[in-house]
Amino acid sequence: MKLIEQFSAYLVIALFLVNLHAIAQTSGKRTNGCLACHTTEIPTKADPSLKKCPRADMVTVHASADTGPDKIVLQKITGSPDLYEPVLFDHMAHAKMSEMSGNCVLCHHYNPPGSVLACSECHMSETSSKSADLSKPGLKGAYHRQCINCHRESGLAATQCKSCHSAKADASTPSRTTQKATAEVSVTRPTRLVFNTSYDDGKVVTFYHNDHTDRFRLACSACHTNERCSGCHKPAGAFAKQAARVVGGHDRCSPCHSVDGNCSRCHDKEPRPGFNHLRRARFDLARYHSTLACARCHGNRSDYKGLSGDCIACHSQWKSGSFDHRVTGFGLDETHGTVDCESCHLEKDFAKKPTCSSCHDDKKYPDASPGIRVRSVRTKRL
Amino acid sequence: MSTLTTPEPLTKKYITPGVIILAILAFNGIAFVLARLFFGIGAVTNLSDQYPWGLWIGVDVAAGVALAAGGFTSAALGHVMHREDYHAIVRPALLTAMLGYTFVALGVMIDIGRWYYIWHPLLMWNGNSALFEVGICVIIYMTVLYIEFLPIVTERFMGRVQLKGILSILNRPLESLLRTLDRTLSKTMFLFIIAGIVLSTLHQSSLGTLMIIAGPKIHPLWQTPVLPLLFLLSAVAVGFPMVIFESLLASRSFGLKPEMHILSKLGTMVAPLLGIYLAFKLGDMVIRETFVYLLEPTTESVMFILEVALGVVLPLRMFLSRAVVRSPLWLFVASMLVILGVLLNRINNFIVAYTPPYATGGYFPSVGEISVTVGFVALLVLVYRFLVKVFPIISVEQRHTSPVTKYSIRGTAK
Amino acid sequence: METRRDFLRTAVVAAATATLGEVALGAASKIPSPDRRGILCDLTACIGCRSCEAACRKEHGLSSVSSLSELGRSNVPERRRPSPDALTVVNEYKHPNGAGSPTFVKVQCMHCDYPACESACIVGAISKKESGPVLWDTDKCIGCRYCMVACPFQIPSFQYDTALKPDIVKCDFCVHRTEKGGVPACVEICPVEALTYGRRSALIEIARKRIENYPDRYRDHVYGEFEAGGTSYLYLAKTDFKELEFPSLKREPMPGTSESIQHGIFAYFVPPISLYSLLGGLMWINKNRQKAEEETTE
Repeated sequence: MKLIEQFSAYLVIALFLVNLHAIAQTSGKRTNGCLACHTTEIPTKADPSLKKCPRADMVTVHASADTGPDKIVLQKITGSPDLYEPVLFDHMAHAKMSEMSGNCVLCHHYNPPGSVLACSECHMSETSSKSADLSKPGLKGAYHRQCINCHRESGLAATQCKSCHSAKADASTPSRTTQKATAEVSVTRPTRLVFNTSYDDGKVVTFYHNDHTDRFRLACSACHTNERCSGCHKPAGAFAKQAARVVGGHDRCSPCHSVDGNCSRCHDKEPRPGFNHLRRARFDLARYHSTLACARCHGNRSDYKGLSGDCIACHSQWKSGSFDHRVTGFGLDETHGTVDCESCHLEKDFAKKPTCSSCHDDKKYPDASPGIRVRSVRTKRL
Repeated sequence: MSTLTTPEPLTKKYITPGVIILAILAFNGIAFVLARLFFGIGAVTNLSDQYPWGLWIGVDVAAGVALAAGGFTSAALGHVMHREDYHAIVRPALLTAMLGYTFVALGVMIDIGRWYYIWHPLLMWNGNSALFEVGICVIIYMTVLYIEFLPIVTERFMGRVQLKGILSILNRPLESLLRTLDRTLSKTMFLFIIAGIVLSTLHQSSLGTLMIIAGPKIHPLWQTPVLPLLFLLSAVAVGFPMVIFESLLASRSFGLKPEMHILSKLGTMVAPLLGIYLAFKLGDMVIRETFVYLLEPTTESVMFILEVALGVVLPLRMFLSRAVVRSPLWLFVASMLVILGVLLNRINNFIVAYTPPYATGGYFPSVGEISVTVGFVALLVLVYRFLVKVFPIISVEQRHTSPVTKYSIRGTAK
Repeated sequence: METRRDFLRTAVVAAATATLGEVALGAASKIPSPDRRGILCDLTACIGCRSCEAACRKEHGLSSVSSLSELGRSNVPERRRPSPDALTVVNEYKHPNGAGSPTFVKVQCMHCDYPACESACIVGAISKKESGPVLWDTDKCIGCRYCMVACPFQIPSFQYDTALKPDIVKCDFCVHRTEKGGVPACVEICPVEALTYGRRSALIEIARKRIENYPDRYRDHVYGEFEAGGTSYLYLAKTDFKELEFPSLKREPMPGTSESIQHGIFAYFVPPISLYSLLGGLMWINKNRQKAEEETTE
């Protein structure tokens, strides 16, 4: 019994220290007086008299998008004259986007540790000028500031009232409470960016954005963690201007690519062509492997070197006899089904056209077929 | 002492080709005044929210007041310093001042938006306002000028009231009224004369205070806390040149002999006065180190140099020369330069130096504004010409040596 | 002897200082009420929607254009100023390097604590009210436009095209609303609450707090806190206020110098009366001297 008591005491102290550390870290440069969070000078355990808000520099919201609400209907404000229908806010979509832009705190500023507060917890439905607290805007102002500032910056036509609101009396505009707004929102992404660096032996670094997103299938948030909304949402063609600018130097690439040592891996005198697996590894990904994630073959290693080009290196069960040739879209006839693979695919180069000349003098591949064409049979992979 | 001349109504005929031209100009001005009254200030002027004051305030009012300074400077010389030899110029100067201020008042009336409220400053006071002081002083001074002029009226009509017909019953009461007025004024005139001088110094300087509150809108070459002093000094300096200018002009126009014996003596007094003004103006520039702006090739710097070089330095040098002071022509030119200098100074202070913080264009007076200003000047000259024919104002050499009339300027002399 | 001269000099200096002190007091003696109201205008929040313009026009019955959609969002690049048709206007200032969002500046009467227009007005038609507003009285105004000359912000506007009874037009702080406990129309309509109406002292505190909390978002300058002796309208912005064409004004009230001069010239009417007596004395002396001369010549 005594042991448990002692243990829990230690645990409490340990937790306290951890918390203290966390607070010290999050509070940044400035230290707040007690009254920043407490309503009294001497808070007690029974009555901590905590202020709900605002808590400058104490933002500790680390929730994932999925734990938040999906859609929110903003209907707490009824102005006079009451012109508009409530606004439907796609919280999920914004929460996911926020992963690229400082997470929840982008909107949920001034949040105490623990649960995420709704706007209306701090912002009153009265405007600040009419309420006792002049320091923070009312709910309507808060909503408008949060929405309009980002939407205006990113060029989304949202400074028209009707971009978000549908007028009460107006039947011509579809009700925003049910309609999905995301349809109008487009993301402009670049294909290739050519950076001019200050490195004399190779000023040019070519970055293929489409390779990273499409081929390497990186999530946006893998690279973009602290973007402005306008970084992605902007009118088409806006990237051309930006391309000449180096953003963040090596830091942008270093999480994935080694930046020590061989500069010429990235730096060059001319823009480079994009990633080509055949040229880099002498292994054509065409057709079968192009859809695979890199890690599927290479594993979660940082350098993707040294895989054997042999099928059997990955497809361990593919041996003559047990390999169902139909997966290639071509079923072998009985005679050829038993022949060694190398008889037709010389030197195990399966990318090359198969040859008949090792056995047959007078036959030639597509005229004389060793089997019949079938539709690709997807049995099990590997 | 020149007891050989005495003021009397002139007999020369009124209409001359010059008078006809002046009349046309006056009618043109009046037409624009009517347009302003019926269609508003915006219809006639180039004034705007950026430039609320223009030619009418800068020239009709500010320069008008300054150029009417001959009235109080000659009054000071003639009455306070009691130099009887100058009395010949006191009456014309008084008339010019009286008419000058009358037209200043008219200029103000057409410039203010609600001319029919011109009397408001008499009842509604704001002691902080320089304009209020100017307004009140101008109103009182104008009254004083009319009172100072009254003895000339009584002198003209005393013993000559001969109304005809039914009005003849008024002859006796009018005559006794004139005599009472004459008697009272002769005893109290010194009070009004001194009041006139005090009021003049007050509002001449306060005209300078007007633009101080505009602060950074006024170009630093002109914006200085000593503006009121500069305005007063320049008004004092322009007083005698104005008297000389008018006197020479009137002699020529009426075919009289220029009174060089007085004008030359007046001319010798101009140089020190101009010198004091120049010293303060340059001293202020040195102390505030505003001469740096003279190196910038701007409208302001050019206008400032013009104003000081042509309007102060050059005439100062001329007035120091005995040859200039003795020659009617050169005296006329030098006086005109001083007048132009002060006129330019007022235009600079009120118009050229004024730059609104959010200017989208400049200001240049419209045809209407110029017409009204020119028209008022023409009208003033016409009224002056009329009054010197009716009243004994301009001194004429006497053919017979009779004793001087009872009062040479009613009240103080003798 | 030496000590006596020193004493005299001291006395003269003391007297001069006392007079000057009195004079200086004349200008600054009217201390505004500590409870006066103001409006904090946060230019970093303003989106340039011009709702305030529309609301103001509607509130003052100024023109037929009363709805936002009619005004449009085409903010004009030239320096629009308040006019008889609009007591407030919103101007757009492009971002210095062209890439960022523009800044919008709402322009209207600043309601100075020591208004130049009030000091200048020949008939006292303009007055600073205890609660903050600077108001114009149509019954007194003669239309001389000296207030427009005096105003450092180029605010008062004049109805140049009205022949009979033209008005001086400027923001009136919506006194008809605030008297009843309401807020000005522009403040009420602002969708992003870029405008906050309240006690001026509280607004300054809030502005300072915002600057402290978001040093990246705000420039450390509350425009109007000290400019021209302080104004009721206070501005926060990200950029230098000079770039937004706010006039650079000193801390001294605009009427300071001119009022000191006025009060100096008219200090209890002592200078004019002294001058009067001096001239009277001179006149008397000169007259007597001449009389004496005449007698001797006779």
